Parts: sequence; C-alpha cells; structure tokens
Amino acid sequence: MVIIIRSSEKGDRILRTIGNETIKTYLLGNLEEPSKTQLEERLLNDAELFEEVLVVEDELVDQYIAGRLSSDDKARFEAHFVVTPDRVRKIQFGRAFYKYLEQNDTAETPGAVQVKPSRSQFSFWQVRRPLIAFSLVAVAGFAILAVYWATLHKESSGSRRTHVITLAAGVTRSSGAGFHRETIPTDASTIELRLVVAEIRYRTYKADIQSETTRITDLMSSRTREENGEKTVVFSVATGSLPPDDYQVKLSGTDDAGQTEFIDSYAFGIAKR
Amino acid sequence: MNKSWVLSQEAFDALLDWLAPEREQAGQRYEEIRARLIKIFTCRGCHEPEDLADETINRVTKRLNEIRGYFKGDHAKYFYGVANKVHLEYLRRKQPPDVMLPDVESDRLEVEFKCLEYCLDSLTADNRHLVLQYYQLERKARIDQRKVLAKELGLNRNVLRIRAHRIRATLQQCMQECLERNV
Repeated sequence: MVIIIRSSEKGDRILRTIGNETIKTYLLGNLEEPSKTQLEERLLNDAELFEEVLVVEDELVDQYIAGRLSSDDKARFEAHFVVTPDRVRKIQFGRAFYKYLEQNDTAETPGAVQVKPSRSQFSFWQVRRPLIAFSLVAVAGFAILAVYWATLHKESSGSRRTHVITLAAGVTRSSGAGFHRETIPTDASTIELRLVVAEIRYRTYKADIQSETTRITDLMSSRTREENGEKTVVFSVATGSLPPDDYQVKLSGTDDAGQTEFIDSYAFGIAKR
Repeated sequence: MNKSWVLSQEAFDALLDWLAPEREQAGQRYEEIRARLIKIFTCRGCHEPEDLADETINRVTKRLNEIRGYFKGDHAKYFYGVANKVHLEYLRRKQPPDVMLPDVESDRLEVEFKCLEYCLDSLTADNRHLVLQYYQLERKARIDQRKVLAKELGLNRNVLRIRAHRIRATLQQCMQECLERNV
C-alpha cells in the first residue's frame, strides 16, 4: 500500500509517496529527518494517512506476536513501540486474536472458504422453478433443525475447556515407555499440545501434524513454557481438527537469523470416545 | 511542565472559532488534531501522550489572541510547532518507568479469549467471516492469497485491508469493555 500525500496548502497531489515500510520504520522510531517531520506534519491533516498508520500499527503487532520481526525490529518494538497502556491493549488483543485464529484454523485457502453469496448474486425469490424452490425450503428446514440441535447440545455441554497433552520426543508423556492414545473429554474444545524440547532457542516454532486421514501443516507458535525444569513449546488445536487416529508431529524452529531447523518428532493417538 | 493555566469554556470557544467558522466543523477539527497529536507523541515513544497533546492545545489556546494577529495558514502546522517544544521539554524531564508487556501465561489470557469469542459472536455474519478469513491468511503469512479473498468478496485488496482493520478495531473496543466488566 502506498499513500499519495496531498499538499495541505494547494490541495493538489504531490509526487512524494509514503509506503508501508516508511510508516513501519516511523512506528519503530527509526525514521530519520526530514522524512519524519514531513510524515508527522501530513499526519495532522490527512485522514487517509492517519488510518494507514493505525493499520500498519496492527500489522506490526501481528508480526511481533507471530515472531516475524527481525531481531533488530523486535528490540525496537519492545523498547519504542510498547510505551502506553493503549499499545499494551493492542498487544493483548492481538495475542488473544492470534490464539483464537490458531484454534479455529479451518480454511487452508480462500478458495476453500465458504463465502456467503451476497443478495445481488443469489436470491431465493429469484428461483423460478417450484421444485428447486421446494427443495431449498426443505434443506433450509433441516438446516434450522440441525442448528437448533447443535445449540442445545452446545448449551448442555457446558463451558469450553482445554485438554493438555504433553509429548516427549517419540511418545506421549502420560504413556510411560509405550505409545498411548489419549481420550479427549467431551467438553474439551481445544487440545493443547506441549512438546518437550531440550532447550528453547528459537524465535518461532512450527508443527506439522499428520495421520493417515488428517493433516495440519504450518501450525505456528511462539508460546513456550518452563515448569520444574521441563521446557515445552505449546500449540493449540481445535478438538474437531483432530479426529480419533494415530498422529505424528514434526517440530521445527526458526531462529533470529531466519534459519529453520528440524527439531524432533513426536507421536500420539486420539482414542475413540 | 506548566499546567497552571486551565482551559476555560470561553478560551475553548475562542479556539473553536479559530479552527473553523461552523461550530460542528470546528469541533470535529479539534478532535482530529487532538487524536493525531496523541498519535505523534505516542510514536515518539512518549509515555503520557494524552497529557502532552492537551498541553500543546492549551498553549496554543492561551496565545490565541497573539497568534490571530500574525499567523496565516494551516492551523495544524502551528500546533505541530508547539508540539515539538512540548516534546523537547518532556525529554528533559525524568522519564516514567517503562510499560511492561502483559504476561502471556497469565489467567487473564483465558478471560481475554472468552471475551473475544463473545465479541466475535456480536459481529454480523459477514463481518465475522471477513475478519476471520483475512487475519487467518495474515497469521499464515499468505499475503498473495488475500487477493483471492478480496476477489471472492468483491473488494479491491486495500479496501479489504482497511475494512478488516476497522472490524478489528471494533472487536478490540468490544473486548476491552468486556474485560472491564469481567476482570
């Protein structure tokens, strides 16, 4: 995105442009004079530029949370960007949103996304064939019943819970020496996989989870834990994404230089309820 | 910082008269300038951006009779010049302690998550769909696929980007209010 800055005095368009990278540099406190003064003066008069700064702020927060900032930018972000409670709230929101997206990752590509047709593209009342119209009414009726049943079921199942599975390289921790299948409680909406690692030395981690029928790739996380000397990398997966099966997890990590290395493999199973 | 001078209603009215002939337009311009001064002070790493913006506005208002006599041109530029002086004074003062990043593993994270779900449910279905799909692609760094999403939604890429940001801002505001009720 490039913004063409309008001259505040003449109202005409001028040639100089401000791109996202310039705004990002400004937000990290690295923009040199006179560019900084020019940007700030125009910020006071240009609503479009002001909104663009807000958008790039959000994008910067997301890059920080996803561990996609370079080590220099990360340091600048922590020292210069996180200066007010308002910015802290942005990060808190960003983290919660990122976690939600991780746990509700159902669409691999936009093509796989079920986009609701707009009123102009499709209208029930435009259907001219009575048989098709009747079929649609019947399908809609079943859909309403299904939603009603699902709602009742959801309400009866109580609040959402997270089920934790700790995995040492090779087998599940709770299994001892052998392979073990976890039974997931019916009220668990999320499975938290904690992968034991020898050391936490990567900026971000990636897990590929695979069974014969299910494959979840590029699951990213920068969440780590250390408890009683045991270090784990934490991934959250929606329970529905892992049907009963035997799974293998391949963990890799990306360091500050952007180098990605394979770390280890883990195995676990989800038992039928 | 000299905070002894207080912005009276009379002084504030004079400021609005200076900013624009119509009161509604002047009020809007005042809000714009204040919000953008806050953003500038924040981007300069100041811990008290609201106080510094208000101090800037107070100083301009205090000198309004004098300014009217000689200053012609863009009001924002005058505010900007005063803001630079206020900023220099801020830098000379002792800095407050750094703001700490929230703990990732805190119990608050669970409450935040529940509030977020509540706020997502309060969006229209179309907005929920748009914001979730857009940021899902951002999370996976699949920038090129946003073009496909934009096409599916009948928007150009930047309109999609701005719209996603606005829905996100609504969500963040909703989550903040939810947290204040629940924490």
